[in-house]
Formats: sequence, structure tokens, C-alpha cells
Amino acid sequence: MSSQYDLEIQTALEDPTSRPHLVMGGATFASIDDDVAGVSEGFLKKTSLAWYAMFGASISVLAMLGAVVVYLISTGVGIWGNQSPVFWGWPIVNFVFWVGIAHAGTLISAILFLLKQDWRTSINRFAEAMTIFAVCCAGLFPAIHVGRIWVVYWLFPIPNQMEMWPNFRSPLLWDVFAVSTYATVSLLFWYMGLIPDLATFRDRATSKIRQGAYAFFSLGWTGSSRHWHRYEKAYLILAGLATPLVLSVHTVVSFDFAVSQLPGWHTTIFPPYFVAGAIFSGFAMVLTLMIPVRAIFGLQHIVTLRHLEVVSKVILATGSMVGYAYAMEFFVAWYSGNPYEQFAFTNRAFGPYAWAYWIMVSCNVISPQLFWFKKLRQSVPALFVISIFVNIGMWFERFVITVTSLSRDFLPGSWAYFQPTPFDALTLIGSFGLFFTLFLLFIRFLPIIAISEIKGILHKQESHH
Amino acid sequence: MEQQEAKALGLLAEYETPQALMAAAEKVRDGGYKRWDTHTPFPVHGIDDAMGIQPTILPWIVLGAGATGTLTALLLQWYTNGVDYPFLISGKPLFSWVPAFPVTFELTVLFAGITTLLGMLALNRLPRLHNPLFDVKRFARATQDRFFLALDATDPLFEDSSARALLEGSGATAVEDVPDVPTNENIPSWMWQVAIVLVFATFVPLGLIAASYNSTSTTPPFHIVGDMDWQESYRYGEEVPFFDNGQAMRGALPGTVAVGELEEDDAFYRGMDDMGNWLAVAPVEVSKSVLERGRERYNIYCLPCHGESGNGKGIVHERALALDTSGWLIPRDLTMDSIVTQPDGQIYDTITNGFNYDAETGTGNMAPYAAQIRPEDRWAIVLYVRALQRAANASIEDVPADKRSAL
Amino acid sequence: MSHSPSISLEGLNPEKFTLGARAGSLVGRFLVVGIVGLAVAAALGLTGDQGDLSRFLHAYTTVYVYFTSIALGALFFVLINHVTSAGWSVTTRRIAELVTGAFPLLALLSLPLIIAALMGTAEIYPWANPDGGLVPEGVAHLVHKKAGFLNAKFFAARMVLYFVIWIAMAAWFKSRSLAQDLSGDPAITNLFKKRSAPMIPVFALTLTFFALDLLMSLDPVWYSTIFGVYYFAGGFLCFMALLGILAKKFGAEDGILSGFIRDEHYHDIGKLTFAFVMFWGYIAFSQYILIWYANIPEETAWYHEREGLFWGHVGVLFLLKFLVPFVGLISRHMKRHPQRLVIFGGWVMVMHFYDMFFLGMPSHLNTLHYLEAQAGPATEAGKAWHHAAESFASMPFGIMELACLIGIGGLFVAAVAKSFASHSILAVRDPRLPESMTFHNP
Repeated sequence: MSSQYDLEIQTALEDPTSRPHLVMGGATFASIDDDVAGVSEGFLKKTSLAWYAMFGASISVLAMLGAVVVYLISTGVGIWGNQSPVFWGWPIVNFVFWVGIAHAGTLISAILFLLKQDWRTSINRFAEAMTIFAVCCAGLFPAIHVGRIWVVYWLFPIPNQMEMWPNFRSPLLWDVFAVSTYATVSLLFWYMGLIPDLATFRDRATSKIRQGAYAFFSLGWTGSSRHWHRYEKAYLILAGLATPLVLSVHTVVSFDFAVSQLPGWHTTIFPPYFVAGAIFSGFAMVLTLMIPVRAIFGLQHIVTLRHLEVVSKVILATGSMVGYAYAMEFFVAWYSGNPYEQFAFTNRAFGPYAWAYWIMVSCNVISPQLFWFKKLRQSVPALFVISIFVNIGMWFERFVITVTSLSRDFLPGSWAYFQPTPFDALTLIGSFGLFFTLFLLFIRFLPIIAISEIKGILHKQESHH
Repeated sequence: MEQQEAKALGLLAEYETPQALMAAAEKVRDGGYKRWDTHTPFPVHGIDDAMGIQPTILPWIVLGAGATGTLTALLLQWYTNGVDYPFLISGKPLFSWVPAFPVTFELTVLFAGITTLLGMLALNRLPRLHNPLFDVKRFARATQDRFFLALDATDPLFEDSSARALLEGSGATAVEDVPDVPTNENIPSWMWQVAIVLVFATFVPLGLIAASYNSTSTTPPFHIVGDMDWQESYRYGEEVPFFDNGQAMRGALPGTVAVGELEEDDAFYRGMDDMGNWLAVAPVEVSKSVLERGRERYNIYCLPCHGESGNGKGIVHERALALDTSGWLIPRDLTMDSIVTQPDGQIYDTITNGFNYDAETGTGNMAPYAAQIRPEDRWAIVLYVRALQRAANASIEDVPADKRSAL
Repeated sequence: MSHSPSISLEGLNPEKFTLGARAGSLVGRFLVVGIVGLAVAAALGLTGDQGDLSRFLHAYTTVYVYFTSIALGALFFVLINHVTSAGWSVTTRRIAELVTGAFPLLALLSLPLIIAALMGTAEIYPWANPDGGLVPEGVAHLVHKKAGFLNAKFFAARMVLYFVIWIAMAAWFKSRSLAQDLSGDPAITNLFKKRSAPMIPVFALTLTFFALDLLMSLDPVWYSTIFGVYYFAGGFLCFMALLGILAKKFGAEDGILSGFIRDEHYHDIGKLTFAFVMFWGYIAFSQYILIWYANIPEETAWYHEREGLFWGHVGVLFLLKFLVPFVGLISRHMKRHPQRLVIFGGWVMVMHFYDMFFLGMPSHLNTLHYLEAQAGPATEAGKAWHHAAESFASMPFGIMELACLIGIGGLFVAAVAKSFASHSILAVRDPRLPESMTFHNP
């Protein structure tokens, strides 16, 4: 079924005088409703078994995470492998990994919106949902790593029994503000986009409960043009706000490392390099999730091969930026003439963590370069495999940055090899349980594609003829 | 209530395409109607002009909110870290725009972002509990694949037949009344009561916290988790089987010196010059206050044995003689010649290390006082002892001439 | 929304869009102005003492990297529009292609710097003559360590390589694009897209090392990994500002591109200018905060020197180059208003010069301080250097800087004008021209 659209896209892409259609297969307004809402409505008939199996698996992993967290809080962070001199081990690696993934959604919904990239409409809802869930996973790690979680409110400027305020010159506090602002604004953005589509679900609902629930969350939306006018303005403003916001979040995360004086952390390219890496990993995760979903639910005419190809190009571009940053770090470490800088980088590539470093380089720098080949950009299995490699590579990037620099600092007497414990691994695996549980619930109950925006594209597409 | 013919709230026309709706909207606009709206499943571009919708003021509201966020963040950071509890962190200024920027940016975006959504909803009068349009069955397709134009009966120009004719002639596939289905739009009073109780209830814990926060109670605070307040830790001097010497207190590691305790100044700490000879004169400034300090320290540590005037007849000595004289080593008379001629450094050394003292057995004439008396106080005592010696060996010439007669 | 008057896009003649004498008459005049300017600067610099030589070379470098950054911005504009298959920019793209025609001139103008390096002129490149006595005390070993990269021959080879690559890229795009004016072959557009993608990494690396070579190496101790991105951000911003100005010039009622450059184009140019104002601010702030916060002497020294110049406070730079255009261009209304776009474009171009000045000229102050140290602060000569340093710090923009600006600027304008005079400034048969004529910004 997909091959027929593929051929159509191929031909259209070759012709620079026209733009290929974004929505294929002779879709109408009604058929889009049926296709997208059908994913949620027709659940019990079509795909329920696969869904329940996946949901069962992911909720078991989530339950395991719950147990690990309870054990962690009741026992202390000593159950993790964080130990002198590597006091920042897996928890921050996992945090940065998830925050990075959370960047694709807002990038697609905000920046590509401002750049008038209409292809975003097919995947923006999906990517935004991914963003929210990834932020949830990311937020989990700083929250539980404080150990005494019942005083976690000390992170915020709330008067407390110590009569002290948080230190606003600490990048870790900036992180609290950046991540919570990002979570809030992403959620608002996502919810605002959902309102008209929830109204569509409401109006299609056949059961009272379904109708009531969607009516509640769609806030009485009627599609009034006067409302749409303000809605579009609000969407534009939120996109304008979210664009610098999305850059700021990973920038602030990079500040956590880069304001220090530790070689390997303190380097000025960190902010844009982290942002490029975040977009890179986020887009890879979009591919990893989107490829199976579009196949299972038959959405190939809405999320076409062209969408996947464009995503692969973004991955190639951002992967190359990450490669540029790696190269600059190495070159400048040599150029600096500073023995500590030089050691930090030779130690990365040839020290005890060389295995992690080369996994990172092969996954992040080499594997996306395969996207120079059109054949691979247009091969769904290749896209899927490379996207997984990128996910792995980006986790290792954070591992390499965090652990190699700490494990061999200025004082050779304190050098040590970082050993994660089983609980480190279980927390990471558990966070995937949280992510997939939320994600499967999203597929089950919410419109996974922005219906009203797709209709707008369809209308635009038709009125050009 | 009598059965009445339901009065229509307005008219609803349905169109198949956005183009048809747009054409109809232009007609209705040109007809001079004010209270009407169109409903579409997606934003139709150009309908704003067709309907004559004015630009929204939302951007200005958001701008105001963003500015509030900026100001809040700057004030918050300046007040908390610069004024209320000044933190000096790695020598950085208490308040500077550089580290203040990230949080300021985030709060600006946060305030603006929240206001964008809430402002949009408020301007749209959403959420709305009930909308009469939902009573028209076909209106469900307004969010799916049909385009509607709703004309409100309260419009001053509204007149049923002419409006209906206008809509029917505008390409509508159907024109229908919006029925006035009696619904109770008011929220039941019990809901209000519950809501009010709940709102007040939320203030109770906050009030309790505020009250205890501002109280000066002497009872310890309520400990939810007491692991930091009651720790399983040993106290100084307690016995611990874990360590070799059985003591909880750990000494310094051999060969280490704590920061600031190197005591490299031989003259001050050991009373010797570079050649290892006793200092003739104390290396401290002589002043009235130092002598006062010396007297105070002397009276605490030395007087019990050496006596108030330094003659070696302190009350401990007297008591020892009264009890049992065997083994009691008589304290020295500090004013005797052999001590008067000692250099200051040697007296200091005696205070520090004792006299004829054997650390192994803990016996000797005098135990060391280094642990009890700080170096500067030892020097003060040395000076005071000198004063005592001078007083003991004084002659009438030492007394000021005008006081001599009093003796 | 403004709709352009319906212009038939069939059979547009490239001749009609060639400026000819209107630009050609500028070439001679600016050539003379440029040569005179450079001659004055060279006379002042080469006949004076070491301080004058240093000031000449620093002023020359500052002005030179400024104009090169504009040409690089233009080249990047061409590359990025091809790689993204952009439709909106078609009517403005030829302007960028023609601005890249300045690369051969810029290659020629790099000769004085290459010669200075080869002659071991420590007054500007302390690394070119590490034993020349103008290497800061205590860092000579560092300079020796870097000799594998910072040596005159390799420097010269790199400079040649950069310009070979840039001239080849620019010439290829220009010639293929001009060929399309005649043939209208859509395959050329596809080829552009295909070739431009791999050119971007090459562009990124050459630009980065160009910035490192000409600006970062002025202080052979200091280093910053973001420096290439910083130079790129400013250069592309400056080109967008220039494009706004040129678009207004050609797109105005009586302009040659009247009707082809519409409000929508001003809007998009304004958006890109605004975006890169933010991007530059972001990059500049990132570099500053990391160095400010970590407070490592070898890094902070660089900012400290820069803040020693008149007005040379990084806060002032942020205020003028970031905040003013940020506030000015934030609204849609301002971006769509060509006259205001020109005002802010001009402002941005001046501020980008200030930025280059901020990067380049403080190094001259360092040289004066090294000369003072070399002569001995207590000696007469030392005192004279000290005095020279103080008077330069209080007023760093003098006749030398002005002469260099007029000199290189004049030659740059002459080269660009020559490029404009002989070619159509509209890609008349680009297959996406109709799209560029009809698109709308939401």
C-alpha cells in the first residue's frame, strides 16, 4: 500500500516547479477523521491485542520503576554507583538523555511552524506528546536523586524552615527553572493544539462517557472563526516563545557542565552543541516511534515516506553539527596547549572509557552519515535501525561527557573507574516503562495526528488546483 | 408551565466547502449583521476579512505578562540572593545580569506562555458549560467536515424570514433553527457550597504552616522524617569497639597538619629563636589589656598552686600539706631569683611542656598546660608573672612619690 | 496582504534585469577611493614605528574580516536556500550570488596578511616570530607548542586553500545559475540541491579555521571552541541586513526588481535578520557566561583586554548589537516595512563592524603593552609605549582605522558593483520563481 504513495512522491520531488502533496491517497476531511479518530475509536476491534500486550509489558516495567524508587528513597542514593570521584553518574546521564529527546517535539511544533514547514503537521502532535513524556522521564531523575525527596521544594524559592533561599547563581537552579518552564509551556502548547481535535472526538463519540470526557477537555470548542482567529494568534505567539525556550533548555543543561572548570566540561561550544545533539536525539526518537505506529495503524498516507526522509535529513544535519563539535573540542584541546585539556580528550578516546567513546562516535557521527545515500533515506528498515543507533549513541555521549571527565580529574590519587550498580540499570529501564506507558495511553485515547491542521493542509493542497 | 412554541435562538446554515462559506460570510457581513459567527473544522484563511474580524489584543496582554515575568525574576533574584540572605558564591557579585539572565528568560517565557493560553481562552469566553448550537444535531459536523454559519436572533437586524432567505440564497445546503431548549445553565447551589468549603479548606494547612512559621515556640518542630535530627552517631569520648583504641574520637592522621595549624613560628609557639636559644623577651606586645588577660588566666590556671602573689603557697598546696605531705612536690616560688633570671621563652616553655614532667607515667613537678591555655594567653601569663616578680622585689622607689605617704 | 501586480513570468529577459552602467559607474569611483584609502593606511603603517605597523595590520585585519564575513554570509545564504529547496528566496538569491563575486578581491586582499605572517611580523602575529620578543611573558612555551599549526607557511597554505574553495563554490553557483537564466533547465535546480548539501560541511570547516587563523590567533594563548560559530553568526546576520537594504533598493517602486520583491520578501528577510540577531546574541552570551563563570585567568584575560578599550564593554555590545535590533524587529509590522528594515539593517551592519572591532583591535593594545614591557616600563621608550597604549585605549578609532575602512570597503563595493553591473540580478528562469512571486506569510 505504501509503495504506491512512494512512487508518487518520488516523481513529485524530482520536479522543482511544484511541491509534492503532503497528504496522499485522495484523502477528504471525513476520511482523515476516520483514519485518525479510528485509531482510538476502533481500538477494541483492530489492534487491541497488540496494544494490550505492549501496555502490559510497559506497565510492568513501570511498576518495577516504582519499586526501585521506593527502595531508593527508603535506603538512599547509595544504591546507585555514584561514588567518588564520579558523583554524577547515571542519574544525570539519563536526565540529559531524556531532556534531549524532549527537544524534537517543540522544535517541530514551534520552529518548523515559524519556518512555514508544512510537513510538520503530520508528525507534530506525535512529537509533542513524545516531548511531554520524555520531560516526565527526565524530571524523574533530578527529583529522586536528591535523596530526601520530601524536601524537594527547597529547589524552589519558597520560604522554608532554613530561612534560606536557593542559590540563583547555580546552573542547577537554572535547570530547575528551565526544565519546569519547558514542561509547562510544552504541555500548554500540546493541550492548545489538542482542543479542536478533542472537540472532533467529542462530536464523533458514540458513548456517553467518551463524549463527556472529551467535552470536558475540549472546553466547549465550536470551531468559531472568531475563536480560531485568537487561537491562531495564540499559537503563533506560543511558537515564538517556545523557539528560544527550546534552545534555552538544553543550553542551561549544558551550563550545568560547562560553567565548571573541569577539562572536558568547560568548553564554550557546549551550548549550541548540546542543542544540536538534543534535536538529533529527539528526531531519532521520533523515527523510532513513528515507523512502527504508522505501519500498525495504516497512516502511511498521512505520515509519508517523504516525512521520514525529511526527518532523516534533519538527523544528518544535526549529527554533522555534533560531529563538528566533537572535532572542535579535540582540535582546540590540542591548540590550547593546556596539558589538562589535552589529557581529558586523549583520555576519552584512548583511556579506560575508549569503548564508550567509540560507540558514541560510531553511532552519532558515522551512522547518520549513511543518510547521504538516498536509498537509505528512503528505506524504512534502514531509517529504523539508524534511528536506534542514534538513540544509543546519544545516551553514550552523555555518559562519556559525564563519566570520563569526572573519573580522572586533576588529582591522580582520586582517579577511579565508575561502576554502575544493577539499580542504575533498573532505573534507566524503568524510565522507559514510564515513557511507553504514557505513550501507549496517548495512542489509545488522544488524536495522534493534528486533525484540524491536516485538514488545513488538505484544503491548501486542494485550492492550489 | 404551559406548553409554548419554542422560540428559536437563531439560524444555522450548513455549507459543504470553505469557499461556499466564505461567499456566504461576505453576504452576511455586507447585510450589516453584527451578531453572527462561522464554525469550521479548521481555520479557514481569508475568513477574517470576509467576516470583518478585528485583530485581537492578545499580543499586548502577553507582552504585559512577559514584562511581569522579567520583573518578577529580577526582583526575586536580587532580593533573595542579594538582600535578604546574601550568598557570596566563589567571589561572584551578589547580583549580576550575567547569571541572572537564564532564570529571567525562563520566567518571562513562563508568564507569557501561561497567559497566552489562558488569555486566548478568556477572550474566547471558554470554557463554556453549554452552547445552544450543540442542540442542533447536524452541528456535530462543524468539527469534522462541514462549515456552518450561525446568525444570532438577538442581532438588531435579525428578522426570521429575511435572514432565512439570505442564508438559503447563499449556497447553504441546509438552514435550520437553533432551538431554545430550556436548560438550567446555573450551577446548582449545593455545588457552590461545596466549592466554597473546599476553597476555604485549602487555606487551613497554609494557615497552619504560616502560623507555625511565625511562632517562637520552644517545643521542637514536628519531624516527619527524623533521620537528620536523630542520627545514630557516637559522641565525643564514647567507647566504640570498632576502632583499635576503643574510642569514638579519631585523632589526626600521623604526619598530617590541619589547615592553619602548622605553627611554623618558633618564637611565638615555642619561645625560641632561630638558633634554639630561649627568647629573652616575649614576642608579644605589652599592654594593659594583655596584662589583665594574663592576670585572669593566671588566676584560673596557676593560682591554685603558685598562689595569688606567685609565692608558691596556693590553696592546693596548703590543702596538700594539710592532708598528706608524702609525694607532694612543693610548687616553686615564682618570685625567687632563679626564676626571675630565666628568659621569657623558658617560662613560656614551662607553661607549655610542664616541669620535670614524664608524659609516659603522667608524673612530675608540673603538668603541661598547652592543651588548656592558648599560646597568646601563655605569653600573657609570662608577662603577668614578670609583674608579680617585680611586685615581690619592689622597693619604696617604685611607688609614685605622692602615694608613698599612704604606706 | 499585498498582492503583487500581475507580472507575466513568461519570457523574462535577463538583459532587462542587468544594472549595467548604473552599477558600472560606481566601479571606477570606488576603486579609486579604495586604493587611495589603502595607500594612506599603508603609508601611515609602513613608514612609522612598530606601533604604527601593528595598528595598520590590526585595523586592516579588522576591516578585512568584516567584509569577508559579509561575502561568506552571502555564500551561506545561497547554500542554505538550495539545500532546503527554498521557494520564497528565489527573487533575492541572485543578489547573494553576485555578492559572492567579491571573493577573488578578498583573496587578493589577504596577501598583506599572508606576507606579514611569512615575514614573521610579531607585531600582529606573535606566533609568526615566537622569539621576536613580542610573546607575552610566561607563555612562550605555549606558542612553541602550537607551532605545528600556528606557523607562517601552514598559515599561508590554509589561506590559499580557503579562497580556492570559496571562489570555486561561488563561481560554480553563479555560473550555473546564470546558465539557467538562458536554458531554464530545472535539472540545474536539482543539481544545486544535490551539490550544496556536501558543500555545507566544507564551508563550515573553512569558515571556522579562517576565523581561528585571522582573529583567534591574534592572541596565541586564548582559545574558545565556539569561536567559529560566533564569526559565522555575525557574518550571516550582517549579510541578511545588507540583503534587506539591497532588497529595498532594488524592490522599491522605481527599482529594477519592483514587483518582484514584495512585502513578503521583506518579511522573510526581516525574520531571518531577527532570528540571527537572536542567534548571535545567544552564541555571544554563551561564550561570555561560560568564561565569566569559570573565571579561568587565561580565558578571562581576553575579555579583560577587550573591556580596556573605549566603550569596549561586552554589555554595551549586547545592548547595541542584540537588544536594539531585537526590540526593533520583533513585530511583524516592522519586518514588513522596508524603510524600517533598512534602518535596522544599517544599524546591524554598523554594529557588526563594532563587533569585529571588539574582536580585532584590542590585540593592538596588547602589542603596545608588550612593546612597553620589552623596552622596560621605566625607560623613556617604555613610557612612550605606555602613553601610546593609553591614548589608543581612550580613542581606538582613528585615521588608520578610517583609512582601512575606506580602503577595503571601497574595493569591496567596487568588486560587488562590478558583479552587479554585468549580470542579471534576477534568476529569471528559476523554476521556483512563480512560487516566490505568490507565496504568503501567515
